[in-house]
Parts: sequence; structure tokens; C-alpha cells
Amino acid sequence: MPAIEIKNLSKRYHSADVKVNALDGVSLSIENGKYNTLLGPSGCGKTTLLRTIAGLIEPTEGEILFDGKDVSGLPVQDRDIGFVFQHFTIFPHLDVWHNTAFGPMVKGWPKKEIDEAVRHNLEIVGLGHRDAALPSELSGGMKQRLGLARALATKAKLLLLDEPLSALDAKIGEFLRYELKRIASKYGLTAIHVTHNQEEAMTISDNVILMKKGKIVQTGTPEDLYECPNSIFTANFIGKCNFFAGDRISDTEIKYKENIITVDQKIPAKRVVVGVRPEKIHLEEHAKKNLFFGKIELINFLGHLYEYHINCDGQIVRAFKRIKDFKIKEKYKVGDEVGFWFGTNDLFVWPEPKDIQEELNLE
Amino acid sequence: MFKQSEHKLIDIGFGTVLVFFAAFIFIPAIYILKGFSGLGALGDPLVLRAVFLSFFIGLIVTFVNLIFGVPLAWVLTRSKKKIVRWIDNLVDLSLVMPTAALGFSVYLFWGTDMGLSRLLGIEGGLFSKGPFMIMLLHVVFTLPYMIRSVSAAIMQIDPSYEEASASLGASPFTFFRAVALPLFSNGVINGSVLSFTRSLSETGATMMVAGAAATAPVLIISLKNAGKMPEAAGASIILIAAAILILVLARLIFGKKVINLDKIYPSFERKLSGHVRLKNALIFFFYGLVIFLPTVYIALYYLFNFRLMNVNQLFGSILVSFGVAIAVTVINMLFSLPVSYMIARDKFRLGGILTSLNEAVLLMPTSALGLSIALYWRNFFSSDILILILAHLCFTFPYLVKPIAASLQEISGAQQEAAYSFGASTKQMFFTILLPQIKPAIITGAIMAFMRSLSETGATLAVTGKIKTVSILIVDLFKAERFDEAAIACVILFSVAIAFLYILKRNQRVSR
Repeated sequence: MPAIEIKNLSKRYHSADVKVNALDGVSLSIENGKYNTLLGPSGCGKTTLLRTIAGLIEPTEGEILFDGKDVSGLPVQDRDIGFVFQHFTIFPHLDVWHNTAFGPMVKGWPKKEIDEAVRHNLEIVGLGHRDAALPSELSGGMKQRLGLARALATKAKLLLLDEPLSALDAKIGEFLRYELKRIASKYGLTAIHVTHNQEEAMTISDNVILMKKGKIVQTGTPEDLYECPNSIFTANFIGKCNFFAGDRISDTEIKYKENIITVDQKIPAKRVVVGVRPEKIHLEEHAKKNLFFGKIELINFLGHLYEYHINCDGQIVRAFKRIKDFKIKEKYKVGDEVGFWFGTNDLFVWPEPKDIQEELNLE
Repeated sequence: MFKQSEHKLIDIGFGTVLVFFAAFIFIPAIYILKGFSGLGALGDPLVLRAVFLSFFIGLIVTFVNLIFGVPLAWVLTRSKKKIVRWIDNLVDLSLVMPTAALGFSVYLFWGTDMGLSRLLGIEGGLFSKGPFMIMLLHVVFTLPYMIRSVSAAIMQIDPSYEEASASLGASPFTFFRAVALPLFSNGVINGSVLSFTRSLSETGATMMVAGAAATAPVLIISLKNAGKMPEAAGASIILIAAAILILVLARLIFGKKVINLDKIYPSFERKLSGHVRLKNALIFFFYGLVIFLPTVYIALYYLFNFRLMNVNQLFGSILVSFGVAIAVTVINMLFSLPVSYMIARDKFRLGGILTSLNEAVLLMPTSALGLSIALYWRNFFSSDILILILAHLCFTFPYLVKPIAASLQEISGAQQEAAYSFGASTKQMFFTILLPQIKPAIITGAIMAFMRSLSETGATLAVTGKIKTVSILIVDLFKAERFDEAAIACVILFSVAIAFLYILKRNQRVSR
């Protein structure tokens, strides 16, 4: 039985004369013990979905089932969840110990159990030595670890995290994300983690749920979403991608401007968009198929690779090249005319959507 | 924060304002200390009894305000229901209404056969004049201070604390007492201090309902009228010292930052979270019966016993009262801007001191303050009306400084610097950047200062018994049992209060 089952969930807001569909008929299954990420641009509904699962927002329509039981009527107090907030929301008037003990105390546990729960969870997050500290004395990273300890102390099996790392410095957040995954895995928790940071989602998720405008666009493992994006939006939001819109001229050929792109898969419509990731583009003068020419407008040094912006017939194509050996001097410079190609199986083909700009919109 | 080239001139300007502040506000206020020879009054049983009574009444009133004011503030701040929003707007009515009019209204409601007893079919009034009636009166005009202080503190609480608390399984009552209450405790302390000192300070209306009892402010006026200046001064010093002591003690004792939980009783507290409708009904019933009805009763009474009367004698009083109030408000509006600025930007590192001095003047019992100011200025001239204006200037000053300083603090100095980077002069910067943003605070402060001046009886009586402001006239008419004439005067003040309340609320909505 899935830990959480969501059926046709909708949330509509009416304010003045504006109607907003924060959630639009969302259906989803969350498996037990997996680390799930709700990913998407601002306003896509990921936070609304998380808060509706928590019981902080009442849905307009739909059902939410925990282990097969309908929780729609249950107030948040009775849903047995652990919630971690973006801005930590640590009770400022209580010290570390009492913040962590709050949940068990509220549930009426005996003193011995409370002490054990607090000690254990503060150890897990690495704050065991600071139980008398006040929140004002803690750094951002420590506050969030305290938030996590507090959420775990009640032994809830469902952990909900609302952009837990967004308010932290990049490096701290990076370190803490692995801690979150480690702890969730170790204690068999089912986690749902909201983020707009796709790198964060890709590195720690067992399952990524990509959303846009209140709907789920695609779910799957990070590899699934990266290697088999079901839409231009997915390919553009996760990783980088070049897009070429063209017309089908044969079973395996697409006419793109004055060029022909050869693909080794079924072309789904008359008008299609081809997607090619920058790392799949090879800078070479000769190729059997899919050879293009252009002028280098920009070269970015990204540490482990170069990113080229090549102007090909007015369109900017981005290509990556791994740097294998620093001693070998980079042979290209801005202004060079170059040739590039990509494999017939190293690409995606989708039917052209009605509004490409809208699909590519990251908001 | 100012243009380099204008720095020196502006510093001199601020320095001048500080000198004026000391000469017109601070020194007159503490001048009474010169009369410390009168501290022999401490031995006088009459004085001791009056001070004790004032303190006793103040404590009871504050306690009642806590019991009912905190839950009222909680509901008023968090409920979105339309009727609750209406009540929220009306809470300030007894705050802006001049206390003399309130005194008459409260007495009418509780103490005569034309009030509540008529509705209940009982002969005679429900309560007689005396300490209990004083308490009923004082609760009416001090409760809004408690509600406003607590509300302001509640609004500062981040709503996600409630979500965090709920996500951990806490019932609404547990959240209220274990998380929210510690976080808005500052508001409770401020509200308590304000309730207590306002109660301690009130003179005119208390005179009307006290009967044979004498509170300290009332005693000070009697002593002064009897020519017993040293005793009056002594009693004033005691009263002022007591007020400051309370202020300091309250801040010290309750300034704790960490309040750890001891125990939570989940099932009991869950039960307390229920019956919301009943609890709300109870507190609104209290509000309606003890606060609202007594406040507006004078208007209801007049409506049903409408009699067109000769208001000529009122005319002189109205002229004086409004004249003084307008003069005082306008002068203070100008004067308070530089002082507020100095507080907000901590100019000359005097921000903290100026704030404390401002608070102290705000909390000082006005009859004692009036006496002190009168004694000071009588050294220089003898014009009663001039000294009256100077006295009113002093105790209304903080009502403008507080909101303006707070408003200025919200404006970052970076905005001023941005204006200068475009080449604006100080004058241009002030009129285009600062003034538009602090206008709502100026309006709020001006209304509060104006109504406070209209309302004041203690300081007025301490300065002179000859000038009859409307509030004093009401007290005199009441004592002479010329109730109908007193009623008209009250209704006029009531109407002014309602009008200003409306402007106040419109202004607050604009600035939000």
C-alpha cells in the first residue's frame, strides 16, 4: 500500500475578481520509505500541495489517503507528521532542548521517553552538545538542524519539508541536503521535500515530481527525468537543452531551417521540436549526419568544462566540452567558425506545443 | 544622513530643539522635586490613604483588564468576521472620548435610575458613588490601552509559529499559552503599565464618581485649592515616584527572554481549546456591558430625552478648550518632528535617553505634572491661559513623538541617501521622501494629542481653577447637579470623539 495516495486534488482561490488554480486535479502515489521531491518554478503549486498534505490548507476538491485512510477531515494536529519550515520557525523563547521536546511534551509522553527522544534526535542532527543554547545563539544551519530534530522527535514516519535549504548559504545547504537524505533513509522515513533548486532535487531524490501551474508534468527518478523528459518544459527545467523546431519530411528526417536533422525514433507529428543536451554536442568539422556550422559568440569557463555559445543561423546553440587536460591549450576562441554534430540517438523529439515560449517559461 | 554641506547647520538646529525640549518639557516636569520639603506629607494619613486607594484601584483595574483584555485582544486581532472588525474599530472610542464625559456616562448607566436599573426594572441606581464605581469607570478608559498594546504584540508574531505548533500536535490552547503568550508578553507588560498609570492619573471623572473617597490626584487638587502647597507638592512627588517605580519594576521583573515549558496537559488543554463560541460570547458580553454601553449611554440618554437648551455658557468653554487643544497640537506637531527624528536615528547618541524621557512624561500622573509645570512657570509670568497651554503642551508631546519616531524608524536611512545622490537638498528630501511616509503617523499623533488635551482635567485644575474648559465645566455642572446641561456638553464631546475616531480609522486603513 502506498504511504500516501492523492486523488484528484484541487485548490482554488478567489480573491477580488481573480481566480487562481493553485492545484488542478493532482493525482499522485507516494511510496513508503522513499525520498520524494516536489520540484518546479515559483507558483507551480508544490508548496500548496505539501501544505494540503500536511493539513495546513484545506483542499477545494479531492482526497488524501495516509496508508489507505482518508485524512481530509483530520486537523493537522492529528495527522502525525513532522514539518520542517523554510525559515526554521524555531520557537525563540525556548532553548534547544525544549524546542525539541515540544512535540513529545504536547503528546503527553512520560518524562523518561521525552528525555530519550530529545537526546537521541539532537545526537542525530549533531546538536547534542548544545541543548541549553538559545535559538538566537545558533547559526542558520544549526537552526534548521534543530528544526529537523524537532520534527523527528515525535517519531512521525512522514517528514514534510518546505524549501528547507532555501534560506541557507549555498555551501551549508549543500552539506545539509545529504544529511537530510541520510537521516530519512536510516530511519525509514517517507519524505516529501519541496524545492525550486533542480540540483538539490536531482542529487538526493528517489522520486522527483515536477510541477507547473498546479499540475504534475512528470514523475520519476532523477535519471528518468533527465534522460527521458516528456516535454520541452521538463527538458528545459532540468539540466540544459537546445531546442530546434522543424517539419517532418520523412520517417527519420526533420527539416530545420536549411538543415536536415536525422533521428532514429518515430517522429510523432508533422511539426516537432528536437531537443539536444549541450554535452551531446561534439565540436568537429566532419560528421556523417546532423552536421551544423556556426560562429562562437561566447566561451564560458566552468571549471571542469567549457560552455560554448554558437550562433547557428541566428539561433544560439550551447555546447559543453570536458576539459581533460589543462596543459593542452584550448583551441577555440570567440569569433571562430566551427562545425558541430550530435548523434541520431542523442536527442529528444516532441510534437510542437501550441505556445513554445510559454513552455520554455520558467515561471 | 544629511548633506555634508548642511551638516553643521542642521546639528545646530537639533541642538536648539534639545534646549527647547529641556526648557519647555523636561525641566518643568521635574520642577516639583524642588518641593521635596513637602515629603513630610508622607506622614499625613490623609495622603497615605489617598495614595493607597489610588494604587489599590489601579491594581484591580489592571487585573480586570488582563483577564478580559488579553482574550479580547486575541480574538479582535485574529478574527476576520465582519462584526468583530466593527467591534475592533469601536474599542478606541473610550480611548479618545474625554474622561469627564465618560464619567457622566458611566455614572448615568450604573448609578442612577435612568441607566441599567431602568432596563432591569430596579428602583434607584445599581451602585453608589465610591471606589467600586471608580473602578467601573477606570476599566472603561484603560481597557483600550491593554487591548491595543497586546494586539500590537500579537500582530508581530509570525503566523508560521502557529503552524509549527500545530504540526507537532499542539491544541490551540497549548499554542496560546506555551508559544504565543511568551511571545506577546511584552504587549501584556506595556498594556499593564499603561492601564495602571492612566488609572493612577485620572482626576476629573474620578471626582464625579468618587463620592466621599479621595484618590491621590483628587487629593492633590483639594490640597492645592486649600492653599496647602507643600503638602500638594509632597503628594505629587510621591505619586510621580510611585509611577516611575512601577515602570522600572515591571520592565525589570518581566523582561525575561527565556521562558521554558514545565509541563503540558494535552487532554485538559485540548478541552480548553473547545467551546470557542461560548468563550467569545462571554468576553463580548463583558465588553458590551461594562465598556461599550456605559461609554455610549450618554448619547442614548440624550437621544431619548432630547431637549434643546441654551448652550451660550458652553460656548466660552468650547472656545477655550478647542483653542488650547488646537494651539497645543499645532505647536507639538512642529516640535515633535525633530525630536522624533533624533530618537529614530539616535542623534548625538541620545536616542535611548529621549525615548525614556518621553515614556516617563507619558506615564506621569497629570495633576502632579500640572502642579509641577504651574509652579515652574509662575516664576516667570502669571497668565493663567499661557501656563495652561504650556502644561498641555508638555503632556501631549509624547502622543506625537511616539508614533512619528516609530514611523521614521521604519524608513531606512538609505532612502535619504538615495535622495541626496540625485542632488536633492535637505528641504527637498524632507518633503518628498520623509513627510509623505510619516504623514499617517503625524495624523494619528495629532488626533491623540488633540483629544488628550480636550479630555484633561487634572493638569488644568492644578494650573488654575478659573479657566473652565469643557471637561472642567462638565465636572462642575455635575457636582451642581445640573445634569441636563452637563449632558449637552458631554454629547458635544461625544460627537467630536466619534468624528475623530472615524478619521483615525480611515487614516490607519490608508497607511496599512
